[in-house]
Amino acid sequence: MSTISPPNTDVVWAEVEAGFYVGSRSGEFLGYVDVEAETKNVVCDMYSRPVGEYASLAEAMHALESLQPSEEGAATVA
Amino acid sequence: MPESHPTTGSVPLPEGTLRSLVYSSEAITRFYQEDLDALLVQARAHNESVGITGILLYKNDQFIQFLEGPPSEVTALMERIGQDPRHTNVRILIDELTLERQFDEWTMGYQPMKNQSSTVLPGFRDSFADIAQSPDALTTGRAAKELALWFRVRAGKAARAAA
Repeated sequence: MSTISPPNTDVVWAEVEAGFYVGSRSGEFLGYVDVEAETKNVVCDMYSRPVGEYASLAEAMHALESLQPSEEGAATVA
Repeated sequence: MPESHPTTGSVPLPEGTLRSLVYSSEAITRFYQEDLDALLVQARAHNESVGITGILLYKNDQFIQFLEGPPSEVTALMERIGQDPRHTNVRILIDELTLERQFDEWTMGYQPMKNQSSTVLPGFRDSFADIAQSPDALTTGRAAKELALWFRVRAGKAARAAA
């Protein structure tokens, strides 16, 4: 049984199906976490561009929540 | 001749206006993969002939369908869907006019969705439940976007795997 739960931020997390989680803030998508294996949590931004792979869902969610949009519209992990 | 739309009354719609609609319904009996395949073949043939695109989601005996196309064709299709004895409790969740398609590559896209075997993780919204229950426009709209995003990601993966 997983004990993962979203950190106390202003990000709304939604489970579309088990292993696919979408984060949004103030109605704007941040991106999503696609759990390909227990230790392979793939993070992509709102344009489906890869951000990184993380060993846990919690790390992956934190990475997406820390994403900062750049001036060019691309996003980088803060 | 330009079409009109129920929400805009007799005001003519701009050329190329599409009706974008999301509805939910409940299957009368369990749909197995072969039933879904037959339904998709039928839907795709019809949709292609009338310029409708969209996606179908099915989980826990519940359908969510996104449709977009010429307003008169979407209206006619919804009338047929409402009379289809294979499902019940048809509810329109989102109904708006747009000039751009979200699913122009799919006459009726479908990706298998895992049935919910356990509860959603604590603190997470449940996109499928949110759109099906449709508590308010904000939640329904957000859930619709989440489901559309999920479909695109899954469809992209399936296409890469098949290549």
